[in-house]
Amino acid sequence: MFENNKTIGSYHSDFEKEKGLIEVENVKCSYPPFDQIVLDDLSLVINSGEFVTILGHSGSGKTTLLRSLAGFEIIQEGYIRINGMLASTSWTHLPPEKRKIGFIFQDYALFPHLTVRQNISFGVVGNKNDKKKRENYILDLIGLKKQDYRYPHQLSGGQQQRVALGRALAPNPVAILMDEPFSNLDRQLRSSLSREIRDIIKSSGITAILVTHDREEAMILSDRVGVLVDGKLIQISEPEKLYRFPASLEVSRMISETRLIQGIVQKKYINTEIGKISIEKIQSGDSTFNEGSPIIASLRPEDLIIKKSNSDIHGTIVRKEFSGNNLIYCVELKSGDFLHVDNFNRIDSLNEGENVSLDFSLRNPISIFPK
Amino acid sequence: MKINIDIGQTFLSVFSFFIILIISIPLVYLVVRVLGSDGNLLELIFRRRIYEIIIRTLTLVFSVTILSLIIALTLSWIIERTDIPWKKFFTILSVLPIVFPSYVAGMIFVDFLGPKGRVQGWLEPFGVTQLPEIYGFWGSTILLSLLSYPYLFLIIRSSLSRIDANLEEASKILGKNSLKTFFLVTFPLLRPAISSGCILVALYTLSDFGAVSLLRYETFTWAIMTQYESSFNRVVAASFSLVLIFFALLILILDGVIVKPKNYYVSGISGTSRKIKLIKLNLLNKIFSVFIIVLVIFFSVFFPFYGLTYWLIRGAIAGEIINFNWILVWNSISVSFLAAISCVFCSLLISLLIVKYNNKIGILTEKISYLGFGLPGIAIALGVIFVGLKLISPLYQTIALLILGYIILFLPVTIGAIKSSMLQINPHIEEASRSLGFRMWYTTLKITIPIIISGVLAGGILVFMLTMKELPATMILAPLGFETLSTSIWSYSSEAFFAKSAFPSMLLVLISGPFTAYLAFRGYTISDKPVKENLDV
Repeated sequence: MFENNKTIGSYHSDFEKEKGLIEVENVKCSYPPFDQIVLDDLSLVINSGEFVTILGHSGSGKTTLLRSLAGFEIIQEGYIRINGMLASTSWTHLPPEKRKIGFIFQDYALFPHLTVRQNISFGVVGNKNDKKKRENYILDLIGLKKQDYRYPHQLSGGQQQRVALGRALAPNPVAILMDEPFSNLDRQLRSSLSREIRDIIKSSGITAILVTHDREEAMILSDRVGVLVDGKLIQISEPEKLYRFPASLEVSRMISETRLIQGIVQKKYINTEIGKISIEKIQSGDSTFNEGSPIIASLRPEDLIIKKSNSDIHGTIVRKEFSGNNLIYCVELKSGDFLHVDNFNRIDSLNEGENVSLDFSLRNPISIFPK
Repeated sequence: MKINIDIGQTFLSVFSFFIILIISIPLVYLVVRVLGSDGNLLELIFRRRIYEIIIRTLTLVFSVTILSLIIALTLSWIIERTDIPWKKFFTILSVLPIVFPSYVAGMIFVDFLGPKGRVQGWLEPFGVTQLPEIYGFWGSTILLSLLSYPYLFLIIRSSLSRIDANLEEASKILGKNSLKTFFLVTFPLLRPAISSGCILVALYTLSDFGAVSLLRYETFTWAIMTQYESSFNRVVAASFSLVLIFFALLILILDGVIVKPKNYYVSGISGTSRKIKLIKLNLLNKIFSVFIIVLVIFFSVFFPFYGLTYWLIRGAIAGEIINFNWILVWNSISVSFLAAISCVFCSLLISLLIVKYNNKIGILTEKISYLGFGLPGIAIALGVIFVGLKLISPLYQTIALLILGYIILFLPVTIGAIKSSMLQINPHIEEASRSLGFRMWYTTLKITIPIIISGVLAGGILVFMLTMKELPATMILAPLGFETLSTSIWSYSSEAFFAKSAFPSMLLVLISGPFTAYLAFRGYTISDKPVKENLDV
């Protein structure tokens, strides 16, 4: 019944026809001894200068993807092409040291026996003068020129992170791969440092691939975000498109907070417990729906409003969650379902046990998925 | 209550001080004896001959250390970093030479490779009438390297397995191949392990008496023993001992000052510590790698076992087992047991003083006790015998003096084991037990003793085994006519009565071998586990 895909945009539209800097096609990777499949028929094209993030839970295969790109893992099917050069197939394997790829490890893996400067110059080739120039350039870039004589254990977590970036950038790689580089930092440092790192990467114009399980990090930093679930790349797109047009419930939930509500498809609208959603506001991903089929609608927090009511009651507040900059009411609907509703105007006039009325204030397309 | 504690601490401090005296008096007395002797002392020590002995000893120490390092690095790298098969098997066999006392291995070595030895006999049909000379420097170097590389191997192997896999991968992604990665990253990171392993091997070589004397390479230990046994003027032996002690101390100081490794901290707090990707060798390289390991094991494990078994059977046919003097075993076991008990007892009190009261005298005692570990047994034994002769003459020529010597030699072993097991007791555990309503003695019985018992047993067993094998101090300190397994093996094998010595040698290897190997494994592999674990994404 719904076939309004035109308004939605196709999910794999980013698959450019022209050649990308890194091309991954139909890659399959599994680990012995049980041949557990980690990457499953995965395809991906990354263009020069792009900052792409692969978002996935632990065990989704995101680290394996990165390690296959770097050449640490061998793939069983498909091919990986880097800068036009065939890097991995089932029959050939270019060793890591010949790929001209920069890699930032989760634990940084800075050489503990070398100073900051020595760490940075490790991968640089050339004569003494050129090397020195490059070291200085990188040290300036990461802002650690004055600490260049220090050993890694004498640096703070953030500084170590920047050395890791500098060391990866120094040999002028084709692209730079980052494996959860911010996961060891505390929250505040993480957000400031990740922006700083992004600026350094953007200003040097290098292509970057980051893997993370932190959705905010992914959304804020990247030109495009790919969502990886169980070794499959479900969707890859610009952050805003992903937010507004998730291809599946899973993507929707991984990208941002969702408010889920059940409903039934009608002719011109979706009927839910708290009201109708007009068909113009709906996008349905890849699926089509027949009239009368039950669905789950995925709303964003800002799509719902709550008010005190005596007449048009949808549910009762059972709990309030106050987190400083936000206040969330947990509402038990008449059906027995629970729904979290944000109080955006922050005037806490509602109490636990109070009956409330809910309404839509639709700012985003509402995604519906089969129940 | 407070007064009680003070009494306890005072008692323990006095005891500790007594132990310090026991350890240091023989050494001090050695110095006094040499300085107080008539005749020109400098002339005595710095006769021409001593230069030769110094140079011979030091070249041997140096060459054995280098050769062991080469063997240990090669074996551990192949086993830890490549995909050869049967790794567990090869690891155990590589450590196995540790079970052979050097005088047993030396005997077999001579038997096989000596002039008119077994190997020459095998090669006779091919027209080989003479093998390269094994007596002297080269023979000693090879034999001692084959016996001492396992110490280095264990340390390097465990250090290799603990290097963060990401560091080597980081080097590769920065464009360095396997060989460059080894020299630029792996080797520097192994340096602390290598230097402490080399110290062990150097001290082992410096104090070895059995191998060098069987192979007739005159180093200090042998020279001291011949001087002690032949001449009436024991001051010469004492002065040689002092020079030997000087070099042992030099090595220990080098360990602490010059070679002291930089402390490398692992960067990052947590992260994915994944298994290192093994280097895939092609068939030819794999065969070559396995061949290298088998070659080393062939000489260091197969030869000794084969030789012992051969002579055991020959001896059995000749009735050597039936005529075997079982009193030797009893003697060995009883002195070893006494030594172990005494060491455990002293260590319990000293460790209590250190752990419970953090007492300075206790800590000093522990530090001084390490001299026994570093200094050659023969030198310590000489010191003890002088003290026995002059200061405590009732003890001269008694078992008690022998036990005293063992205590000085092996006390650090039990202190180390018992102190670390005591440190595992969180004071809160005892408090928790008492807060749950249990009395002090019950708490001690149910909580404290079960926790430290493994350390006590490990330390005690190790001392027992080390005493069983000990040779030079036993030779010097044992009362006249008191023979143990080790001294009898020595007297048979130095006279080339292989059939006679095979049975006691096999007994010694079989009794002490498994424990020595087990403790060596445990000692180097379980401690210092990396913090990062189980965080795989």
